[in-house]
Amino acid sequence: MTDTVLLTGLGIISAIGTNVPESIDSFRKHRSGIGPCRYLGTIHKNIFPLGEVKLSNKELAVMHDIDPGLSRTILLSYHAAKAAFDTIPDLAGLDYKKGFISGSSVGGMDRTELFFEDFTKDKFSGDLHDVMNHDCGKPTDFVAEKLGFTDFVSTLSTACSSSANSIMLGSRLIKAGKLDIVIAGGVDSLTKFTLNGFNSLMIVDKEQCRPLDESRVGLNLGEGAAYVVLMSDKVAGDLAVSPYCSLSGYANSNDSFHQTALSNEGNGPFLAMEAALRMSKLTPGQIDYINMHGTGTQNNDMAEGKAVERIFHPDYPKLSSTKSFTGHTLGASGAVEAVFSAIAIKDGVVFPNFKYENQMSDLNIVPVTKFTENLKIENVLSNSFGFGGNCTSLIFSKVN
Amino acid sequence: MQNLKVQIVDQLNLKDVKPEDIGDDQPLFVEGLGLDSIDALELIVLLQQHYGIKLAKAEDGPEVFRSVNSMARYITEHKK
Amino acid sequence: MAVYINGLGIISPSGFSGSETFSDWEIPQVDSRMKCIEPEYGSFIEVKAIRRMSRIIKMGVSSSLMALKEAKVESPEAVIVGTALGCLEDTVSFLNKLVINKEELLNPTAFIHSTHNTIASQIALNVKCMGYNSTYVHRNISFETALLDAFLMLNEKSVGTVLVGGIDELTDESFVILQRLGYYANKLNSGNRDDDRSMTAGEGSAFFFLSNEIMETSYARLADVCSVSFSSKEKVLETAKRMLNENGLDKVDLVLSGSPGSTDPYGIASAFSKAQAAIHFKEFCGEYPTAGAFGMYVGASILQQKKLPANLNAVISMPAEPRHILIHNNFREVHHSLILLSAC
Repeated sequence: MTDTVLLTGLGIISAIGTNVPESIDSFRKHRSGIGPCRYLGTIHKNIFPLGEVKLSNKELAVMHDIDPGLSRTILLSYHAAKAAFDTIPDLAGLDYKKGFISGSSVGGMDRTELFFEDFTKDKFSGDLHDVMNHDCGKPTDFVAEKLGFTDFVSTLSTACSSSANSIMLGSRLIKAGKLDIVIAGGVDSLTKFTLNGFNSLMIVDKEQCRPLDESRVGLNLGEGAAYVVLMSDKVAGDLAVSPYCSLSGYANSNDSFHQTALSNEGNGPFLAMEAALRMSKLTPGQIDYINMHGTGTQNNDMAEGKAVERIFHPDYPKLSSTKSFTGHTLGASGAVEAVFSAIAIKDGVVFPNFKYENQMSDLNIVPVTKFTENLKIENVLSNSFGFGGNCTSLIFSKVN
Repeated sequence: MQNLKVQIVDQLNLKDVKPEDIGDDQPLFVEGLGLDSIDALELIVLLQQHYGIKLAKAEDGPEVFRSVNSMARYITEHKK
Repeated sequence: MAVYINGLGIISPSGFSGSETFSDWEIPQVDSRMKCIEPEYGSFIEVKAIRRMSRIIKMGVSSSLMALKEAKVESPEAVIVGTALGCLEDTVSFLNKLVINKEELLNPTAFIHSTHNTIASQIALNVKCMGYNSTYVHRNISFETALLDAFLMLNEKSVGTVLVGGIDELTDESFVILQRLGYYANKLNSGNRDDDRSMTAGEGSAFFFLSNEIMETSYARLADVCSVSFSSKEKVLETAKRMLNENGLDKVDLVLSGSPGSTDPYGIASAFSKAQAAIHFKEFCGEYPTAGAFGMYVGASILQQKKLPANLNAVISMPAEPRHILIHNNFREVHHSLILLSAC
């Protein structure tokens, strides 16, 4: 049994890049991935800018020799998980227990909504191929089987904290001695279902979103997938892999206030951050960077901001919301931001908000506005807060 | 007004409330009927669906939906 | 650290908690689908809160409250739910509107209640729990993974109590789609009532209050739980053997099987059950992804009542006081789960 779980590999795809170097380069060049969508067939195409991955289903399928008729969720998930998998040395002949854990909020909904275009009018119509991968577990199974990570397979769905919870579960299973190597993360693809759903809540911005800005009006929806490779320090040593960082703290709490809104004081976020700090045995002053959940909605940024101030006042670490570059990738966001957090520590960088002009009148915190290098980043706090009050905070720490 | 009350009960699925029991000036939110932010969004859909009125800003909601009377007034002023 | 089942709440096609005890339940008449017999939800949930709740949320919240009431507890320290298909009624409602209204005039309520984690979060709201909250959605091991998480938490000692459950609903639309996908008994129709019944579409909600503390009214001890995925029949048997051995056992008194029909395709019962034959719990609840939760309810009830219910009509010889029950669940081979229950 181990107490230390390390992140030794990363895989990511989002609106700002199809791999880690491309993503970091987008931050460096201050290039947001949010803009008019190309592939999502929605009537709101020219109204809401989206964080769409800049590859069609066909292009993704050809890259990996997969059926292009599969759900985009499967294609994105496999792309990122394979990248993470490729960082692991050859395990042939080694008897490690391997697990794959993925988080998603709407699974194969991109195809299901196509099915319903026919099914709604006639219960005997609709192509069954479009609905057979609807449930969130199907993309996970596809990827797990293809990568051979099948000793433990599971899918979580806690809205925007899904993949953060996947990473947390992976770590707990390693510490309990149930698994040796885990690929954990999450995925969500853009769908009319989610775009229209968020629009019905009137929290989507028709312009580039402005998290933590006084003038913010809402989020930009995005899509993507990201996975991290987790293993104990012993296994990492045996395989001679050098880690990006450790997962030194994590916590999951429920705001328990309202189905879609966080409490004004950010109680759920506060509990999650505080418990994660307690677990990592770090003081607030030791956190060098906070990757905020920062969706750009009135409610989230206020509640999260208030909770951050309750814990970190008066000395705030550098902080930002990378959703201003990627859009809100829903179930994938926790893992996407875990990847950015790991890079922050490994490369000594912090990421900026894309567009920020006006400090929030009720808060003291101000985000970073420029990509900054050559920093000593030892501990990063990453927040993921979702519908249903599901709050998860992860803390990543430098390994000596 | 009675029609509007029926539509409100229907849209918000207020199973235990009879339309005629809703006072014209009774507060709809917090106290009174105890509606919340999601109900406000549903009322925005109601305005559009039944009266062709689009409430662009959710922040205008509290004033427009303060009571059945204020809703009726808004509808009369903006109805297409 | 021992884990005890101190309360449970069930809503199933055979009956619901608080109505007659399990041993008096009628085995549902076989039709094309089994529908839950539902309680009066108003007796559990405030009218103001109920108006927005779809059926599955009412089922989940009510069975959670039943479990807490039985355990004589106000609030658990964590809430974990397994549901493979989530809130289908609201999902389909939003999808239909999306098509009919061509992406205009959409109701926010249906959308916000369509996400899988709505059940766990509504439960948390109603039982006032701000602790750990998670939802597992992995096909027919959704409940068993939720249970593993709960088991882990209690062994990590991060909490002393967990409310965990499995829930899936069958709607008119999902029934049509799943039938079209070939999920149910069309192929069987063997004329054998037992076979057909356990391949009939079903639904249900089963919630358990787990604690490190034993009570006089405790149902059973949750000894172990695991899933086995993408494995051969031999691996499934090997995993079951290892689970029993790690718990000091060669055999159990009874196997409850979620395999279709009255068969024992994996040989679990013949290998590990003193009673040789298995009891097929899906005869009582039908086939649905989180039926394993119902199976755990059956096992816990048998251990608490210390006997096999008469209505099972099972031709099984079993010791006078069963001490260990193994629940094996699977659907179409890919994922198996094993739950080991022991008498307190």
